[in-house]
Amino acid sequence: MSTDTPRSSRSDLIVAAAIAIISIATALLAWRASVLGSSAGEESRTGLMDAIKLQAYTSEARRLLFQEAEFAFEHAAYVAELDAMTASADAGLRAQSVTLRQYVLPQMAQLSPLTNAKYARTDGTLDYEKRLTELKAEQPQIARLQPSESFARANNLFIQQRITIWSAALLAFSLFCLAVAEITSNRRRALGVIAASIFAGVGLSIALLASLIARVIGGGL
Amino acid sequence: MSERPVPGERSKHAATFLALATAVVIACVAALQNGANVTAGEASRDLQLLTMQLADDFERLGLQANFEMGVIGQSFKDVQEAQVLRLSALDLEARGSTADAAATRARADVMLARAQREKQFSSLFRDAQYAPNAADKLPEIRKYVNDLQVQRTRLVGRITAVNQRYISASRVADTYTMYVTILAIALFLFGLAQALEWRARLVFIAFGVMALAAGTGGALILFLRWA
Repeated sequence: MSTDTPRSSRSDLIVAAAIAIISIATALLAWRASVLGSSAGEESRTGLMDAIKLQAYTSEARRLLFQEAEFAFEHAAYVAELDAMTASADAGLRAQSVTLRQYVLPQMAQLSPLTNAKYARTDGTLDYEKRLTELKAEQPQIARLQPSESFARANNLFIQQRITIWSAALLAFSLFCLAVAEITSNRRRALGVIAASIFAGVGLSIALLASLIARVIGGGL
Repeated sequence: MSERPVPGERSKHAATFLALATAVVIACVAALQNGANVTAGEASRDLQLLTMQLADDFERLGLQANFEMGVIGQSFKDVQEAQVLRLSALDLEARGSTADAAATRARADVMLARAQREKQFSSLFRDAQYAPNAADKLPEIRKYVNDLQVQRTRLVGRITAVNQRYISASRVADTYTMYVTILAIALFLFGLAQALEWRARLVFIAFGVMALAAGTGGALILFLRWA
């Protein structure tokens, strides 16, 4: 009887200390899950902002391309017209074509870079993709905007958040076992402590592993 | 010799045990609620992104269609002008103005050459699925417009699917919140039961168990249905 009391109070103390430690760990995991959620939200917002900017720059480049394409179309039609006039049996048209080719055509060509021979294709069409690539390259901001990378980081953080929350739930199981151990004694208490240790060990390991993996593959906190 | 148990001590232990179990269930349902919230957040973001892409595609398809229609319109105008000039040339020839007729015919040839070059710019003439199969036929403009509509409908379909995912995840998250609230009530009842005399404690435990069963069962059914 005299030896039972100190042993019992010692195990009470150990279980109480374990409850305190696991409670703090649970709170820390909950805090970390919240931080991960906030960071994921920030990455998502950054991605959306980048996507909006990218779309604005791309849209402007495309608008310019179609504007240039219309001028190039006018120019090409005019060249065909002048070629036909030059080849015509009508002397008046031939004479007109020389003057028009000399004065009007160069000015029309200036309206669109697509009139440059480097964009001409063998089938008579123009290489719009090449010009669009050049127009995009003229805006250096486009290269810096990588919304998909931000979204990938956000998804990674969301996964980490989910894992961390479930790790905290495992710690809650651990707390349950410790509380049962606290209100019972002997064998039940020992079982409670063992189960609590397993739950806490698994929960903390998962949270730690998820964090390490995220750091290795990038995008983790 | 073992001590005589205090009356109601077992029910007190039961209330404590149930309170602890409820706390664990709350933690699990909160984790599920968080998961549903994250899914809803991701869907909301995807929805915004797809809407932006849709607006971008609308603009691109609009510019493309405008260009195509402008090109084909100009080409038709030049072809018609060439035909009218040819008819005028025939008329002039019939009236004996041979020189004017030749000049008008030359002008018609010029317009026709222009129209031919213009056609090369239009996918309605280049693309086999829209191009006319005879010189006197028109391209398949209706098919071209319908194909543009199909692209837009496909994008709208994707947006609708993501929107459905967002609505579903949001509702599930809200329902989990309701179950967490019910479980919190159970926790409150079990906590209060420990401070009361044993008859009242049993009543609180009974109501607490009902709340715990409703919260746990509901959350479990929702998880199985949604997962």
